[in-house]
Amino acid sequence: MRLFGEPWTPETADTWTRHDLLAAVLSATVFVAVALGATWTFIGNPRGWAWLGLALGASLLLHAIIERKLQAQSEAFRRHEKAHKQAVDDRNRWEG
Amino acid sequence: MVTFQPLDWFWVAAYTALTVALGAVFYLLGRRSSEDFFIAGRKLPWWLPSSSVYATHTATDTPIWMMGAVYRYGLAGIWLGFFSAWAAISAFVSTKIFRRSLAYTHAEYQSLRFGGLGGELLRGWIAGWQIFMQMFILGWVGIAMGRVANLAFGWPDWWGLVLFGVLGAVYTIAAGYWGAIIADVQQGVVAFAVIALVSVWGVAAAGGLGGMQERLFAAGKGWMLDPLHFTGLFTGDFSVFWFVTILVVALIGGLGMGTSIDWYIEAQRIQSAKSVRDASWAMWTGALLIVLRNAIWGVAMLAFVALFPALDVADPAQARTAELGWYHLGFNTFPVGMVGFFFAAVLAIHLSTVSGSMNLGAMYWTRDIYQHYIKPHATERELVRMGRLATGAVLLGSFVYGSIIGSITEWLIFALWIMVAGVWLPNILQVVWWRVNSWGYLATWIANLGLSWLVVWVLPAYGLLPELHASYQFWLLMGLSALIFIPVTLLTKPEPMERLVAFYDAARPVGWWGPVRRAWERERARGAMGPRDPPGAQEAGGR
Repeated sequence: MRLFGEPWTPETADTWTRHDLLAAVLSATVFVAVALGATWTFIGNPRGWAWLGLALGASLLLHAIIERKLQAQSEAFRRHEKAHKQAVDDRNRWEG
Repeated sequence: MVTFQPLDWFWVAAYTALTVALGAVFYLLGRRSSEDFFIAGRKLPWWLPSSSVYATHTATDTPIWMMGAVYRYGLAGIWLGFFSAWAAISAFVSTKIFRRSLAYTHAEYQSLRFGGLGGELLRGWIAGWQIFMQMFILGWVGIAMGRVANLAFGWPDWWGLVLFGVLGAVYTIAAGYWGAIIADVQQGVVAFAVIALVSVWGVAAAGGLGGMQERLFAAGKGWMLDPLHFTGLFTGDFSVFWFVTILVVALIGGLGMGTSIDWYIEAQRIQSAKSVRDASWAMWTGALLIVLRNAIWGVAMLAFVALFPALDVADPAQARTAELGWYHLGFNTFPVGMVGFFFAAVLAIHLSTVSGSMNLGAMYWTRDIYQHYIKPHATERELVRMGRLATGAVLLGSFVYGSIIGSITEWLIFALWIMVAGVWLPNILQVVWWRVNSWGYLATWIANLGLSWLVVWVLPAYGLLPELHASYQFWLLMGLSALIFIPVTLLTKPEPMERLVAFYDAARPVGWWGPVRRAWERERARGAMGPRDPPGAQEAGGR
């Protein structure tokens, strides 16, 4: 399975893969880097720019890895959503 | 007190009119169905719930407690606002799972994930707890707004609580979640702009970045410029251990619904997104904005410390001045005619939180209690009407809590802590481990009420346990709760496989779900599993 540009099908997109793991790790990195980078940058500490650069790079990588998979997952789920919604509503009314 | 000029009143009047007008404009959308009134029909593109995540978590009390933290710990204090970073991992794990479950609320999720009596008990408990908590939170932020109005106009605190609560209720009752979320967008923009402006003006008042730093060094507070300044590895109020605990609670909590204080309100925003992808990016960008906001706020607050470095936070009166420091900066550094703009932005900050909490509390009542237990076959018209009534009731309840908030602040902090420490692990495991059942989870909730009480108050009062720092309290409560959660879970039956398979089919949880996944695959292979792709769908889905 390619890290970038994988041609996701509804079936493959619905499975958890290393793309999700990488997205989670990169995302956590972005949050810590933004917190540190923005704080240092706003008080004029040049270290802040390096951290913001790391945050930007990690964000772009994250998007490149996960966006197509998210789109495919959404598309796959959309086909099921109406029936699932009916089941949830029925259960809420004690009919399911 | 602040003296308003006509231009200042213009800003306040214009902003109030704009906000109330939104209620009128979106009234027709909100009344269409309960799904519209509470989750905007699940039709929102990512940037709308994203704005709401940011705006809702920017409340009038936020700069008060953050200012208190920065005054004590310098820029390291911003890490106390890092709990919102639970969305970093959640956006790509539990957010997707929850959006696919299609549960309106975290309470409803319990009855989809778990079955039978246990699931219903959990649902009823969480719904009731959340109605209570939304009143509590509304009272808390309402009285914070009262303190700001007291600072600005000398009003008694309860005037601000009531007046601005009613203002928020006008458009929330009229348009429900549609009104709240659309208002959140403009409120978020206004609030972000003003937060940035106060930082610019505040730093300028302190002599610019260089002047601010010189003042801090002269006052012996140069260490405050370091966001990684800690009081020791394990010692002091802000140790490395506390910092690491915050990171773990927030980030790892995102695997499930770990930081459940935030989870409840974000669950509504997740469910209002039009797709799984939109839900993910809404949570990610909204929470990232909060982290960015904390940094901008931190600089303004540091400017206040530079201007007034000698306040004694052990003295209640001076501590109150320190905590209101960000508001002092806004009211005192904005030019004539713009002070009203600052106050309008404070109103925006306040209304975005109260509208969200009112609608959320009303949703728990209407969906989880009224429709589920009292009148299952209520019409959509009845549900919307009940939603409106409940919105008003939540507001009235908040006035009661707001009026006694001074004496219950410790209770609130205690209640919030209960929602994090003891149930942190079960909140994660119920998402990633199929074997978690309703009895283990429910037993942990109940035990956690007693354990938190013992660890935080009773045992230290009798000298049986030292007064522990929050970081140690967290790990101790988590460990003690695990001693109840794991045995009860393993000694009671798993949830029925049929229920787990139905849940798996919709939500596709991650982690240790092997037995359920295999059962689901068998069901699917023999064509017995719920909805199936239409012919040719797989090819069409590939991109």
